[in-house]
Amino acid sequence: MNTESRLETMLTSLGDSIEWPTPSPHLSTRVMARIESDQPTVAIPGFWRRPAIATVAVLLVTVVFVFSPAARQAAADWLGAAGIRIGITSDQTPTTGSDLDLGELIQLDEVGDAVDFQLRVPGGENPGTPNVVYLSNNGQVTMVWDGTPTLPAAGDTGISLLLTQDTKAGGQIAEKSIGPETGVQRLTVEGQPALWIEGATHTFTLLDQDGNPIEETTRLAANVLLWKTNGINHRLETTGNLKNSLAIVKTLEPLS
Amino acid sequence: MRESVEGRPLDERNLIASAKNGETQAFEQLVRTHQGIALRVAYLVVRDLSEAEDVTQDAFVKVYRSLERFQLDAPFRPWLLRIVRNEALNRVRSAKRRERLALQVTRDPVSGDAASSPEAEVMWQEERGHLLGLIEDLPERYRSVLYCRYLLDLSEEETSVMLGLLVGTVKSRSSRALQRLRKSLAVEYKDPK
Repeated sequence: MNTESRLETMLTSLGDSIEWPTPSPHLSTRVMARIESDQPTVAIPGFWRRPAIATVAVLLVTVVFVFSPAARQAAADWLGAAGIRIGITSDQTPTTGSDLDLGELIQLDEVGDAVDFQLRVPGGENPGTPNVVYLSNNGQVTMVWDGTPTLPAAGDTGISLLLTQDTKAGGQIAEKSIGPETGVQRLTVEGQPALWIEGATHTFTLLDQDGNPIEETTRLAANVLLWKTNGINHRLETTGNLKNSLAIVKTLEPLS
Repeated sequence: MRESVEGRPLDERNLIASAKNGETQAFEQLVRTHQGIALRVAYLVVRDLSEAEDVTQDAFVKVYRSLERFQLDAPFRPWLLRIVRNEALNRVRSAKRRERLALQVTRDPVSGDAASSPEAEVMWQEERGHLLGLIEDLPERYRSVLYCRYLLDLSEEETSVMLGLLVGTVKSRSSRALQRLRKSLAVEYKDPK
């Protein structure tokens, strides 16, 4: 038996070999009891779990954008990179963006092979090479740049610039909650309709294909430029202004 | 047993339709049918039986409340499992736990290539345990696809719906994951000479 067929045979039998838990006899009974009593699930939106966001989320006007960058089911990980062995891993210095549920870390020179579309990366010295790159479970790539003296970080995120790209078509909808001091401008970027959202720090939450908020994707956003080119959704979040953002867009080049 | 989307039993579709109309007994039947795999999905994420049960309960309640939006001609099981998985992921994130139990391989082989002697049984168990360890060391994007395809026995289409990926992406990630496993195995078993 060759390696390939033997491997697949072993994998096929592996599922039957796992010591799976079995549902308790009461599981369905408890589910039905909750349904019949219509006891609402107590769920605190991720949104409110984040102090930095909670301070700005009052009297919000909701705007729904239909062409959002997909993403973020972000839920990315089954377990995250954390080990699955018994034991406790020591807390390490958090990587920039690690609390934003952007997916798992991946090297810039590997990410091109991990997605099915042509990624682009800013080619100029500013902002330079991204400090970290994340890949979400649904194929969204997020490049992240740390704050710098010329382009400070947004809030307490440590991030000055964040560029996401994906090809999710339809379905995914981003909902932005925008305060009265936030402006929305329609413009053209790379010959395509685009939106520029600027002003008071605002929040956004992404919706899944069923329209349910994906709580873990709620996060603080700085200024945001949204556009779609060649079937690829782009979202550029930055503390910089529109001029800076458009300058960065002009430098985008295929990631080799 | 793998569930075919196209071949979903008519009675399940009827059950879903009834549940959408508020017939809780119909939904209870759906819970009983899918609670096993739902619990497995939750367990793969939270790695704690008690918590996996809680997650599964919460997920089923959410499923019931979301039934109104569910399209009858859509595949039910992967939609359900996606909700379970998201619920479990939310739980893990909010708990910020670091401890995770490893999956374990059973001592008693159940497949057709079962070992026939104690020594062979030990080898059988170690081999699969080792393979499981290699899977769990893979990057998440590959690991989750293998979990769905092999540990949960989901079809490519179901995996696509559950993970929110294109079917083509499921295929390519599965292929790359197998390549990585083969590479790992080849390195480990390479003759040192």
